[in-house]
Amino acid sequence: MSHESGADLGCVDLVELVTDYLEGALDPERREMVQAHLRTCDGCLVYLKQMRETRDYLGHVPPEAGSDLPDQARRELLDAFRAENPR
Amino acid sequence: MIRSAPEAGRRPGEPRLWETDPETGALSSELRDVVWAAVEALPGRQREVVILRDVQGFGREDVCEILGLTAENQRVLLHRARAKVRAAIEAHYSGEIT
Repeated sequence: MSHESGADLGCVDLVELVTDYLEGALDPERREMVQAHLRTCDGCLVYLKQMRETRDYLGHVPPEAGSDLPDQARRELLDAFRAENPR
Repeated sequence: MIRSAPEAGRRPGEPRLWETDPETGALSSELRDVVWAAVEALPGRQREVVILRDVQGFGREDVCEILGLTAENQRVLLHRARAKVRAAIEAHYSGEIT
């Protein structure tokens, strides 16, 4: 793992920023700090890959369902969420 | 705010890459059960966000609108949810080695 000094990101910071990084939500400066850390830290690079894999795995559940909910079920789900969360 | 809560994060030491079936990318039914059990165990808001975003594939703007979340809140919830699911997958692979 890499060292933490000055403006450099530590592994703890990267763990917190990884989703923002994957979401493209970081400003260019922080994005570059993440990339600089990843270039020198194999552990965090693996962590990033695992988080990507986790996101992709989540596209293959729930176990009992087919790959996609039918449109009707999707609409019902949305209606249920909206009913639960009135604005 | 939520960001200060303890991370369901990484264990000490170097994480390993997971071995998935390189030919099909298919998930074993056992792994799907692990992932889904982790999703069902999440607190309500985290579960809603991760189901809409990653399971159902809605875009982030849609999810913010549906759930009435700010963009940042949505990312925090998504991050916490994915981190916990990741930890469950990691535990599954770690325990699987015999």
